[in-house]
Amino acid sequence: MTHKNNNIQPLEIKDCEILNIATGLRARNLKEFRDLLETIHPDCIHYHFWAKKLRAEFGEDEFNNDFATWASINLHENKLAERLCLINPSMFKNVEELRSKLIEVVTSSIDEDQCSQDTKEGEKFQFTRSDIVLFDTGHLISNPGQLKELIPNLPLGAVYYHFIESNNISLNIVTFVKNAGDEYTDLAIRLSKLDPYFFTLPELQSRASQIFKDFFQGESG
Amino acid sequence: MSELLETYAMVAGQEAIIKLQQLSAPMKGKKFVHVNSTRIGGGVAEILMKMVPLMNELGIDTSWEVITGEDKFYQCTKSMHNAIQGDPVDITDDLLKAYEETNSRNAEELRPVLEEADYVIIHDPQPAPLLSLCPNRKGKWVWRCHIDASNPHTPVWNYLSQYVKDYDASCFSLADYAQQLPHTQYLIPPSIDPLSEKNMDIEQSEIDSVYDQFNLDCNRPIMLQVSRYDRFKDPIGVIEAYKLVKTAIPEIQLVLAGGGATDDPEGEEVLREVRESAGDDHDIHILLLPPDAHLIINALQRASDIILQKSLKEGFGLTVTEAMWKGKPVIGGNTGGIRLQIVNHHTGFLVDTPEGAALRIQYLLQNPEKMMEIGQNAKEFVRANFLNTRHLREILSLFTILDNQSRQ
Repeated sequence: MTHKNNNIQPLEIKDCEILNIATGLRARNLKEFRDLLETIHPDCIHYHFWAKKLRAEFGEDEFNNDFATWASINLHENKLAERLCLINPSMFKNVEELRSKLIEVVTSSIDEDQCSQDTKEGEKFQFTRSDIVLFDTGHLISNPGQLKELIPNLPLGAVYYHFIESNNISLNIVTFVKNAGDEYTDLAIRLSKLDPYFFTLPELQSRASQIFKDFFQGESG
Repeated sequence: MSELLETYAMVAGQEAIIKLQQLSAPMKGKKFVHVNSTRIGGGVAEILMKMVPLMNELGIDTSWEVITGEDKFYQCTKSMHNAIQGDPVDITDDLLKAYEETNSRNAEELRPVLEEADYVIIHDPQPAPLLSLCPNRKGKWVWRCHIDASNPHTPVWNYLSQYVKDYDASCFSLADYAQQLPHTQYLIPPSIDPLSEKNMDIEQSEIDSVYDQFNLDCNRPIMLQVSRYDRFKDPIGVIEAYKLVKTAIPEIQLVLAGGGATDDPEGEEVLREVRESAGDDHDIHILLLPPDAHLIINALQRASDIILQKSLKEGFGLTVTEAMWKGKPVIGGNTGGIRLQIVNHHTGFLVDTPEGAALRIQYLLQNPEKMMEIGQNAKEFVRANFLNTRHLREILSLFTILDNQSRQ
């Protein structure tokens, strides 16, 4: 038996722009990096895991967070880079747990290799955070069916905001579908399995579009 | 959508323009003022020349004011520029007095416009004291630093920061350049205008014309550096790289194309050193171009095979962006904003020495397919990251954030 939730809060689709902010905090080597990790603003940790999704970069990037990229490119610590890559922020309840994991991985690398080589000038890790600006797209969604047509055409800023930045709040698309009623449970489960950490924004958009398409085709069939 | 916006949409993409319209909607009719110290010559003037009309097109009432001074003012600001970029130059009290007096005099004239403005961007150190001279300002003021401030000469930075600290925010091109300041420091790289004379598509005949005009042989490879005659741009290093290449590829030609900005009194001295280093080599072409030679620079960049920007210090390096936009491989100094643009081996090469530059020039000349591939990558990278539509979007976002903070 299905239950339609008629009291669902409409989802206002927002686009977003991220503006980077320098903190002035820089690490020249792993020890400085570890020490700064202990005290930096939680937004910096979030930024270095997620903001690169919105950054237009050239070509494929083998590292999915800024910490791992720096460890590999600037410190030439490839073992550490791989370990940092494996830290999936989606799997942590909050930023403080994520911070603890980062510190644990970096500390163990320092203990193993005693590595504390300074980087060259200009290659320091620059701790950065960001401010976000939201703006209306004019789309107000009252049921998940409307998203089937909309998601493939969303600007990437909106994909970022509604799948990543709005995590765990009512503007998140997965949360919206979950709250839309029992008939959408299967759709919500499929969307929940889509881990944004492993996809570029165009990939995420394409996969989410496919999930919506499959679900509603199945339903109509 | 207006014709101008349509034209930008064709180059930068429809989505980029829609975002600009969305962001600018709440700012319609508001007064926005940019202030710098030169209307011609230099990267800032070039950015503003196209950004101001674009902002007006979006409905924001935007003006561009320029402060003016005498020789001592420009000597002071040139030294200040060099000191912010790390040169350990001390500035005499006499020159600082000229700096302060010039700003006071300009403030008398600009005060009504600046105090009434809703948004003000003060570009670089030259007009930085204006904020302190506009006590009844009502808008949000941002200090925009376009230069490499990663290791400023401390006494000069301490002097300048007394003026900068009271701004609502400051804005730097790279995280490396951020300093200790009591307000938020946003990171916004500069940009080029794809529709400007310097960057627009031009006819082949215009490209061909520069061969005759500057006595260049179109059948032999050309390497080019476009920049002011400034030690930080390392024109002598470029000549050294050329001489190294010449031993292996005797047919190589070098063009150094520079001009003077009205706020740069040091250029002539560097130009003399460059001429001396070039000696009587007829394949080295040292050009002194007027500041409005945009079309010639455009044609020279397109006529060249490889473009260099072998800077030792660089705020951002818009000449790199321009060259990349023309689909040319760029060999750039491993410094400042050049590192943000050149993805080594993908959109060009980063080098630390004339030898490094010489190696990459020879490699590229031996591999025409690679030259083409890198050039194409470079163009697309600029389209995604360094056009003025992206730049303006971030500026509008910055002021939106400042407005939102005031309301909270």
